Amino acid sequence: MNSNTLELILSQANLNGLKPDVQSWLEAKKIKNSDLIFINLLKTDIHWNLFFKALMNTIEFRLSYSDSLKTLELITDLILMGHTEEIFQFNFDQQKWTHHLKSLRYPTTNDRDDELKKKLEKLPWPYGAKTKFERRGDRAGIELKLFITSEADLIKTISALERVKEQLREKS
Amino acid sequence: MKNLKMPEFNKIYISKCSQHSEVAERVKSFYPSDIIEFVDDSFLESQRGSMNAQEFNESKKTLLLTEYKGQFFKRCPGATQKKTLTCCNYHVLNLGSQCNMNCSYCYLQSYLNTKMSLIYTNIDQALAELKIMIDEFPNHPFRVGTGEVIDSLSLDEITLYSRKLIHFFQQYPKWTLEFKTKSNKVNQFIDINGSENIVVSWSINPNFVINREEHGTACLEDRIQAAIKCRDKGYKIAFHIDPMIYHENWKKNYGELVDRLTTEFKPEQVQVISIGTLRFQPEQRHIMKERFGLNSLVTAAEMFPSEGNKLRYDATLRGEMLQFVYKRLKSTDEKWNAFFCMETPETWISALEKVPMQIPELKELFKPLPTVR
Repeated sequence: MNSNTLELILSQANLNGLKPDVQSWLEAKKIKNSDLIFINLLKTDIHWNLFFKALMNTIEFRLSYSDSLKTLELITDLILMGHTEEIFQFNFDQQKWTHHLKSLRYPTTNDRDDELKKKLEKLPWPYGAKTKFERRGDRAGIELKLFITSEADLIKTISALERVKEQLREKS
Repeated sequence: MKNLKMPEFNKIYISKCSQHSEVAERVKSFYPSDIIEFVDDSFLESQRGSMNAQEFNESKKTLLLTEYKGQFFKRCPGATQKKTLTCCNYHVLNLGSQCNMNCSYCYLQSYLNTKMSLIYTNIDQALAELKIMIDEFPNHPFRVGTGEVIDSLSLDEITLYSRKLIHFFQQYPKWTLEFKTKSNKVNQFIDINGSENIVVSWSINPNFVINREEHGTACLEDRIQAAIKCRDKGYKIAFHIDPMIYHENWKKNYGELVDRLTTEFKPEQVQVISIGTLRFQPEQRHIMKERFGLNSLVTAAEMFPSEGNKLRYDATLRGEMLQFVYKRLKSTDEKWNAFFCMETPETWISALEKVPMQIPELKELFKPLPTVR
């Protein structure tokens, strides 16, 4: 394994005619050797071509230091898993692209999350409640936001939540 | 039964302090002299440091016999994460480090910092240390395992430590010794009669997983045949269905694995069956990918940061996998003593609606014990 990943990425960028872009990205984001350890797994010209195409996307989207590294590691995984051009579907929109990349890398979880999201969204949440489906690490679920203005309001909300419970009980 | 062949080493070093040990004598009788070199006691220090993938591979093929200078007897790493994990009071006795087998998920890849396999030759000192602990807590049901940073039995034909440990623990029936292995190497101690407090345990997986992820280990049937030998000789046996690895046919494969166990063994013959799902430290992912590529069920797995900072499967999926095996076991006989290894209380509750202290047969196992020094 090459411990100097900055040298490695710059020499490969040079071969791909992208050295100035890559160099300024490395400097702007203050990327360290240890940040890019995963690029040691890229072995062929095809791997590097795909990687740099993705890197140009992350530069274009002005991703933060941490999001850039997460995205590039995820893309490296996808390249090594045999994905090629499908990586770049939806790369015109950052949010859609990120979602697409995650669905390629985590297909089973993605399907399960979609199913759970549909199930949760269909529940009769209290009127005015804001729901947002989220994955937080190894757990997925919804964040439920309620705005209570009075005791009566609270009682109404609790009985609405009781209906959610009843519906869940009926389904199970 | 086919036994695995003698472990292969490209180079064996023997420290001066260990050159007259029984283990060194055995090594000299098993391996050609041209791969053996005698070194100063300070040699080990020069081999310290983090390892890259190639160095890690080489460390499996290089052996150093030396004496251990620290404390042999320690708590299981699970006990240090009591805030996030539900711990089963396991204690460890490390008589060496590194493993001559090669599992893709092995946590040693992010744990070891010595560029060779080690066998500690001063087992008598380890036993003396244990004796002090036993004298202090003779009636506490401590469980002591030797398979934390080395497989308990895969190098045992070289060391024969199993024989010394069995004889030692048989004097102290309240304390339990647990060997943990993925090998089928039991012939070297099977002439000694077993007892209730000597547990020989196997970490098991369906052959589908063994063939892909547990390189150089015994196949499932060989592990089961070795367990049968031990059972028939009066040893308690245990199984660790751990790590369960998700794949398309996981229900069928793990279902068949449980069925194989429950048809071959009775609950009273098996001390415990621990169940766990794949987990590893995030920093381990790079070396795993470099060593095994991305076609492995482990490196390509869908893992997420979880409590305690480890990467794990989605919590709901994990609960389903654990519950599936647990219920399959219990469906054949309620008496099976099963628990989840290194899991969070949330997972216990999602899978079983209980934590271990609420399960009568597990209460004793999970009851807090005095802290060892």
